[in-house]
Amino acid sequence: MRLLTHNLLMCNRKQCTGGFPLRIVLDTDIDKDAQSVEESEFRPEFIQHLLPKLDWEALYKTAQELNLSPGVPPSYSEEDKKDENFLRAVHDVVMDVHILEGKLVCPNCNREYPVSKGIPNMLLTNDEV
Amino acid sequence: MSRPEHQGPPELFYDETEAEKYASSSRMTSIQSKMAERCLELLLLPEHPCLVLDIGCGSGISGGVLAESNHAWVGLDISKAMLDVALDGGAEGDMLLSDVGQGFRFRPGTFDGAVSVSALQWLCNADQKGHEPYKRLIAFFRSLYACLNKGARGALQFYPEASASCEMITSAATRCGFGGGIVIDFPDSTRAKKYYLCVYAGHTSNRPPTLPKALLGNDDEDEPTRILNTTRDRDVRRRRGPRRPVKNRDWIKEKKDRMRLAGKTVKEDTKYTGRRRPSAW
Repeated sequence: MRLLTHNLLMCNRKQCTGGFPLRIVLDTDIDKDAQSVEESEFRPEFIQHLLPKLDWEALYKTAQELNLSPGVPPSYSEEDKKDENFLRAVHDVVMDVHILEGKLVCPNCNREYPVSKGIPNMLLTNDEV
Repeated sequence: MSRPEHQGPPELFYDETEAEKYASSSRMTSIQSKMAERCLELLLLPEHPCLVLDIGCGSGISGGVLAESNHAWVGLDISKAMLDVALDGGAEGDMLLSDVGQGFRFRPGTFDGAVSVSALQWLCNADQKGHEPYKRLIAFFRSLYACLNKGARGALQFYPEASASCEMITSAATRCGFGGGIVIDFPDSTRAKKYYLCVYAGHTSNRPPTLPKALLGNDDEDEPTRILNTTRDRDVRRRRGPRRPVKNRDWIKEKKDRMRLAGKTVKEDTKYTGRRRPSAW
């Protein structure tokens, strides 16, 4: 799961409102990689259209938690939107960082969603629907 | 045709063997990608790369079509085995294990469109105790409406079982605030006929609230609609000259010799052997 999807995803429980952003808890005990960086094609135009959709505060916080260097700045201005370096930095964080093993925890209700092989399990039990 | 929905819930039906079929069958792949292309066409996406939701992404065939058009996608599917196949196939989008009938939550207004290939009909079935198809459809459309941005469209291809399921789906969609309806491609053909639920969450100036035209297939030159009626070439089989007798004098003589060798009592060969009898009158 990319950080892009993480930036869109909210807690799925019906009883829970505003469960965003989900806290990423990486699984460090196993010998597989819990997090990976996969280079992908950089398309500045796509990132430009993506910017208004991102919750910047959440993205900045997540990047800090995952110790991503150089990461993204705490805020950006209108001029930054045309800056290739800035767009590249956003691309690297949002499109290239993958969460592979671990869990997502709702900050509101503490519901845990396991992530395995990069696929979060968002299935609910019958009483949560 | 047997309907897979009747055989069991999707998370059990699409097991490793069934998922493998999707990875290996070129016929399935070509049909699915054709439908995905049509869905993408119905979305009327703006020119720039977009973020598209793929409902029931399965082995990522529709995702491949989206990626080819430079769109990023996020997929939802209930079958773990199908998602594993997608991972092996190197799907370019992110995937989530999710039952869309339970609803799904993304931050509101984030997606530019939603596609779905052959997934919606699964929601019309009650697979578990406590499943109510209409309620599950409502939960699905409500979640979909929430995560689409203004003017975004959804193109959802499905195989309705009866007209009742079409009605149930459209009524659930309109109840959740969607406009739109069903587009039926190739309505006169039994095999090529496809149903697309085309819904829009509000409308903008470049995406007016009108349903796209259905394909009729009349001027489709790729596939001939009927087999040409070729006339049989009878001349080849026409005889030349009169029919030759099979049992002529030589044949009779030869047969008599064979019978003599076999030890049968055979009449002597005379000048009358193999001659026509005189007519009675």
